[in-house]
Amino acid sequence: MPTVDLKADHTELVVLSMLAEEPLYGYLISRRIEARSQGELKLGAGKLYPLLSKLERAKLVTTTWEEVKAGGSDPDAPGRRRKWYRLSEKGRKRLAQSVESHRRLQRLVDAFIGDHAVADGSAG
Amino acid sequence: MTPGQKQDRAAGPQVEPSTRDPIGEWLDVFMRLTGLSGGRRAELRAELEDHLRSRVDDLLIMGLSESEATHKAVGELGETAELARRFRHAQHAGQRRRTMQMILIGAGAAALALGVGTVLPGQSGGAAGNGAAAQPEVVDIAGEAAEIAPSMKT
Repeated sequence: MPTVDLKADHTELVVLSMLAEEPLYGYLISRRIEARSQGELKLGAGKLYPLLSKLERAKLVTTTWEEVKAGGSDPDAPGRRRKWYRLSEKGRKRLAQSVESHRRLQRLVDAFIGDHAVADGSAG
Repeated sequence: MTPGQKQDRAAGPQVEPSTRDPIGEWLDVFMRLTGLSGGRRAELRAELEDHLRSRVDDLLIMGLSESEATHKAVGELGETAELARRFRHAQHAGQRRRTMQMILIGAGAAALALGVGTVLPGQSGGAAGNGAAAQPEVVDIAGEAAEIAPSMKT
């Protein structure tokens, strides 16, 4: 099944929603999105990290660093750094507003779509 | 999974590692292309390195060789120059936003000093204060992003 390209505002909504559940780091966010959508949604690094940076600047998330050591590596050698993201109080408010806006818009659009089948384009 | 050994943000990476493996070499080239500098550059490099090495670890578990996994992990990031352009643009967008905020604050302060009424972004022009009837909030379909995240727009 082809992947769906999320609009920027939907991407933000998805990421904030995931961070509302638990703190996550970038790679884990991208893997969770792919897994939970059964591969239909993919968020590449080129969109994910600029978005996370934007969320951090807007203080919608807070960040902390963790040192990660690879299995079998020298225990005295420095590990790589991992940046964790956690939803801030401001982020929770933004998420609540975004969910409300999304659901409201969805209701309005659904009222127009109704039960109509999608036109096959053969008419005319 | 929970973050175990967390550190303060101030303890984030400040020095670029002198890694000589393929991922380190790719990061060296990529970071030059972004044009970023200072702390932001070190942070982004550390974050991308964690992303790439985490992906390589997953691909190794799936049975790929080290070189196959590295090649695939870097390839999944997309075209290098385009990726660098996205990060450069995101950084500059943040700087432009801060500049605009400073200009708006300055303009607001100047207007207050002059005793001139101002209409700030997001305000309705004073309808609530002049007795006008409350209007239902309208959803702007074409501008959904602005409705959802007005302050995030550049």
